[in-house]
Amino acid sequence: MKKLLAGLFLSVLVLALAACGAGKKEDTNGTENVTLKVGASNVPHAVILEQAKPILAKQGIDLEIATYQDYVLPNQDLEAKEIDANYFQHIPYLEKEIKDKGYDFVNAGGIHIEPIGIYSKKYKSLDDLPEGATILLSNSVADHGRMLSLLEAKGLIKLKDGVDKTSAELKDIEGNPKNFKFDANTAPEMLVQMYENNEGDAVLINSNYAIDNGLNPMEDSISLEDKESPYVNIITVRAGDETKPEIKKLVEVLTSKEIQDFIVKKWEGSVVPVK
Amino acid sequence: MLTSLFPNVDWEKMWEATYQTLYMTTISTVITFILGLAIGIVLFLTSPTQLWANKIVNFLTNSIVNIFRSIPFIVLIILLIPFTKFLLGTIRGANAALPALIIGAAPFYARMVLIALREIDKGVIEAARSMGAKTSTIIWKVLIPESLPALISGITVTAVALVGYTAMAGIIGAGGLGNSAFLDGFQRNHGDVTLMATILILVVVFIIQWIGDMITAKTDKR
Amino acid sequence: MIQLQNITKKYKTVNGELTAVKDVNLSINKGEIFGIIGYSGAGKSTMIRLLNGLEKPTTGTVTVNNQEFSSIKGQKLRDARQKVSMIFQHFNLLWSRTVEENIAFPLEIAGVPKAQREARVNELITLVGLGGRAKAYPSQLSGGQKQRVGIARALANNPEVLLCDEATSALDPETTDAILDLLVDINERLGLTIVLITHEMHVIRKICHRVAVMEAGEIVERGEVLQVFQAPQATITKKFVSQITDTKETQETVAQIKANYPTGQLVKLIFVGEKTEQPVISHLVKQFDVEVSIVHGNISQTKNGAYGTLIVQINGSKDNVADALNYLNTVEVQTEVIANAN
Repeated sequence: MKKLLAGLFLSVLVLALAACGAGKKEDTNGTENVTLKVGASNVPHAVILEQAKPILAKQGIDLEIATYQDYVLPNQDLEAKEIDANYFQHIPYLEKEIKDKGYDFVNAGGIHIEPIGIYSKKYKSLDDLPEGATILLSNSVADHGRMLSLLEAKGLIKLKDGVDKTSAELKDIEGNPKNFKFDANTAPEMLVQMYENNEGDAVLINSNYAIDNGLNPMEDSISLEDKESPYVNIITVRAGDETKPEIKKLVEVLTSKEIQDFIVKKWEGSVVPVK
Repeated sequence: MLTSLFPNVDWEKMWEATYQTLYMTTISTVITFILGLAIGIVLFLTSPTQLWANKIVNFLTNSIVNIFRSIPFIVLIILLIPFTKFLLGTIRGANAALPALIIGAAPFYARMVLIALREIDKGVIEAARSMGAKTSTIIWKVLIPESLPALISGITVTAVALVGYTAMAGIIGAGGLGNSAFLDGFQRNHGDVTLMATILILVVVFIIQWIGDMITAKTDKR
Repeated sequence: MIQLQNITKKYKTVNGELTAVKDVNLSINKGEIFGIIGYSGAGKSTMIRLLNGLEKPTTGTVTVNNQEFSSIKGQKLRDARQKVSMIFQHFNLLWSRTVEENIAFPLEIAGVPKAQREARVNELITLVGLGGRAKAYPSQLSGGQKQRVGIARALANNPEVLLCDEATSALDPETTDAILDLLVDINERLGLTIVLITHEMHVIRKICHRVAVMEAGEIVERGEVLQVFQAPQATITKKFVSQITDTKETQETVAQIKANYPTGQLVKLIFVGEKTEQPVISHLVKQFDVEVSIVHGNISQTKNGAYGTLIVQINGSKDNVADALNYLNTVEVQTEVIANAN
């Protein structure tokens, strides 16, 4: 009797598994689903990925999105194979990370640009900034090149000759006619709080954090980075993976008209899709 | 010799970070001691069978202590931004970290104070009452002196915990050794900086523990 | 000095209402040493705490030193407490303070300035015999020394009444005696009224003038110590009295004696006060032609005189023995026949 029951149980189990397998096969017109785990910053990266998720699902790619609060772990986890790709950094940052930490990563495709903005509750334009004003920057030194280049582009400071603009640091400032004080001690995620609470005279804020906290870079900043900036946000993968079909599909979908229209509509110029 | 072992360390910055850690730890420990002691005494005296036995006050105080103890420190910094701005006029820098440090640590210490006070022989408190002592006398001349070794070892444990918390205060520009270890060391991939900053933190902790142990032993006459 | 009128004390517990003290009326005179004896749970701890307001009665009034402790509160109560001091079974000293600092504590509470405090503390240290130990910490003292500190502390503000909560129960017999001697000394020198609670009869015997016996919250017997010893009425009182006189050993001996002396009368004689000194036995023999063998004897001291018991075997004719016993009664020696041989 016991043997009979065991045999019955086993057959039911086998049949169930077979049925599941069969069912799976059925909803992907012949090919099996691929799972793609992508690490991303919250806004706008993860939001864009969410938008792309159903589109990718129809193409047989099961997109799993992991959100990150910082700029270090996404690359660490990519190297450790915890994720298959990440979408949070721009090209200069990636190059710096590769140089510093020896990662073997590749740019799989540029998706969008988030211009950095200069924000101030006290002053309406950059010209209004008084002598000796305090300007707050993030404590992420990797961002300094970009921020200082922006300040130079707007005529507020001058960097030393021959300095690589993407890796410029505070010590590379040569000309500072209005004697601005630069405070680079705040963590990037706290910059909006500093702005909201009237700390300093002007605050440079990364757009993803600005948007995350309800600011609109187009409207709320007193000055915005140009669209011609080299700071494109890319999909990063381990070297060799850029040729994988699912990665190619991911980039394709993210640069498709549908997604690009979505980006423009949703962020009205604070996030700009790359052509 | 040190510069060859630790080539990437900016010594001036490292001393500044050390100073910031010591500054934040010292001030928050002192104020936590006072605030935590007061709360702990209230918790003790409002317990059933004690001098100010009061179920409602006891329950409320306990709840507030439990709530603030449970809030993760980083969340506390952010929640306290309006309060900090109001109190100090700024939310940047070492001073701005103090409200969160204190409000996070005081409930923790208050619990240790309560435990210390419970260890006091009930008979001694009864004797003080029979001598005609009023409650403030009992607090200052009986409760505190009779539990002093436990109070001191408790604040030592709290101070060491605070050193850990100060590392997180770096996000609002408070600096400190923990922040250096993370930003200048880890983020820039300078392992020697991380190591040096960590060594200095260890030294700070050892000194705090040593001072605490010494004072505890001196005050214990039993 | 102390009046308790219609005192009842009830507690609310998880199991309902507990009556610790039931309708007690008690009066204690100035300058006397009054003992309250009872087993654990009899209500003595509650009783003594009513005397300084550490417990308040559910009904009734407590008056000590002209202060109604049952009703005063706040500063009035605290001031009154400076005149009604207490010493404890486990001493209750502050271990963080030295001997002299402990003794100074009540003086600090009373607001006495430093110079006077120091002088008074030195006085008290000499009084209780702790010379040279002023700067020691309680952890360095023996039990007896700690209780001396407790006593010195209790005397600091010149109290009118001293309450003793099982003050010697944690001390060895020799130290107990030393402490009891000290209490007697203080009572005689300073006229201090002392109320003590204990479960040991020998303490009552040694120093108390009067005693009250408590059982289940009520006073079942009271009176002068010698009297209560002589003629205990309540069963529990008899039990306590036998703590002194008839130890278990004695009772075993008596059984043995009954077996060994089957003839004649075994009689227990109780001598009180001066009678213990008189040659009563020899009179018996000379006058009544009986043989008297002394089987067992015991004598103890109380505040009011000696108290002795003698177990003798009286052998002789029935008439002679009866006459002998009658004689004993005329000279105020209590007799109690233990066993008749025939």
